[in-house]
Amino acid sequence: MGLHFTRKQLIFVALGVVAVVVIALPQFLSQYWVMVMVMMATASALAYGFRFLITTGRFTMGHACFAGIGGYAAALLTTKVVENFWLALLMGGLVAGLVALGIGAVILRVPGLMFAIITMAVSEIFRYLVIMWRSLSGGITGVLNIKSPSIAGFNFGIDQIPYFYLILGILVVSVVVMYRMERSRIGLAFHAMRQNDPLAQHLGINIFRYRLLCFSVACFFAGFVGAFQAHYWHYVSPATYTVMDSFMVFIYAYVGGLMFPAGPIVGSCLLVGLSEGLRMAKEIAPLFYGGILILVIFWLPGGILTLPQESRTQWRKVRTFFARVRARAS
Amino acid sequence: MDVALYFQALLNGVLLGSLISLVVVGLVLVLGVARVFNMAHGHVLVMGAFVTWAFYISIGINYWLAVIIAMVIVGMGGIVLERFPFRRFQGNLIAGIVAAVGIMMLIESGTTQAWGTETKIVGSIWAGSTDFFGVVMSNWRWVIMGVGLTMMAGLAVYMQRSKMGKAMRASASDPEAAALQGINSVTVSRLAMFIGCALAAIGGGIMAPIYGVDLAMAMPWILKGILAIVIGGPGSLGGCMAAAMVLGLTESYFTTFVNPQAGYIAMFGMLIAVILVKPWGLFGRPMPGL
Repeated sequence: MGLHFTRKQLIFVALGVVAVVVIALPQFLSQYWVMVMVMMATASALAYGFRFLITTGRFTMGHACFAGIGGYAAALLTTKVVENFWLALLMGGLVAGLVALGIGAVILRVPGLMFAIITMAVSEIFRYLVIMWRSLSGGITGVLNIKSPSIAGFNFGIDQIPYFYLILGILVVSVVVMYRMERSRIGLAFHAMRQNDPLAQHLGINIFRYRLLCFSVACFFAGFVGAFQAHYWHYVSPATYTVMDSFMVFIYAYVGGLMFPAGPIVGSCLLVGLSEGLRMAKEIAPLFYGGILILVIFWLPGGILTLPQESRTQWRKVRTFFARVRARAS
Repeated sequence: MDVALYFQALLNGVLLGSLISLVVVGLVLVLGVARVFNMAHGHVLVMGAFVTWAFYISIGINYWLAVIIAMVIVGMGGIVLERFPFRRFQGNLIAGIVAAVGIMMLIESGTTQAWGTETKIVGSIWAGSTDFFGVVMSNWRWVIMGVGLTMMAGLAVYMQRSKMGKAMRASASDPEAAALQGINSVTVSRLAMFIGCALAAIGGGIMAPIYGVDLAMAMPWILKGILAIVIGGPGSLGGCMAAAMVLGLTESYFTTFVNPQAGYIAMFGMLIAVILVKPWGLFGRPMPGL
């Protein structure tokens, strides 16, 4: 009696295995590697939001800025008003989402490249505002001394493992919500807009309203991540939310593969793991990193996840070549 | 307030504006002809400064010769960049930007490997200052202004009059029609990359004596270049130069009378206001597919 699985069942089994491994792994690793896993999960959550916006055909160069807005909102709430982690988390998400709603209502009407550049401008304006407004945001030093979160009497302290489970929870929640949205009727509208803007408009899709929804949801979850980061690092400062950080989110998603829901997660884990792994060879690590980045986009323009498909095509080419050589020889 | 201070700020603004236009020209040419948004252009400028420093200080040849050598070397580097990552990504904006970020990392780590991370000091070439009707500026700033404005004028004439300049403009406005007229698109995009990178290298070379040579310069300059290209409008060289001047003046006046951060906020606010009213910039026209 053979075992037969459908494709869907196989995917569920694979997801289950991955979940078990990811949940069990921190128990066997050193604090350093758990920290790396926290960084991977943070990057994945941000990159997933970035890809969510890509499904509507727009890209942003200021995604880290919205994490920053959420982080500042959460940090100011816990240090100045009330010390409650869940409230701060919610506050970070809500503030980032509302800011995105307000800004997006104005800037989502312009063409794609210009939208991307405006988001970059917004992120720089946010950074300079934070630096200028010293009385509220602490200027260039940022908000310091954020207490470790304590949930139901359990204080997180300095151990990395609880933080990992926390960010894993945030990641899973945001991925599930965004994935379900992408697979619903709303998501169909998103994909229609990406493929053909005017046609989608003719079909009666209010492209502006759908893009606004998508942008604010993506930024809402970015704010979540920012609020987590504020509690994880115990400070927020303008130096951690620069344009370069937004570029990194962009690169994680792109290298993983923008057309696959799993792309941003794979890309972030791979690139963060690579940069941490290469830190051992500190001297020439960035050279490798930049080189690998260029090679990946050069040979696999669709991202790492197209590797099986691409290698199959290449293998077929090699095989036909040899077949032709053999035919000529005989 | 002192009237001379206003003129001082005006001249400083023109100086900054001519440096910004040295950067933005490369961005406009490359976006128009080669159809990629070269995010690594700030790093190209820093490369120019590095090569100038290397030839002038380490090898010890004449400063102006070093600037010219930097211009040629970095321009050649631009041609290499056009071939290796950028040609594949023509018209594919997102992939082009990721490739450019990869190049940024390569340049950053390469220069760090070769020359270390500390700021290189070129030292003053022509010390002292000149008084011009009560407005005092150091000699080198006059030189930068002169070189920048001369380069801009030269480029404008070249683009208007010469055969290759016309070919580049034709290719930028309609690549297919230009190709049908016998314009080799590869040659023009190579030339565009060369001119863009060479001008950025000159900018880096001449600003090295006052700003020093530091990788941290790359990001602010590329941001200003992006501001200028978006305000002026991609596809309009003159518009972008004018926008660069306006940005330089804004920055200079805000730095003199308010503070630098407010200047940046004003510049970015100007960008948003312009895009909302005219999405393709003040003088640009729509570029399909971007």
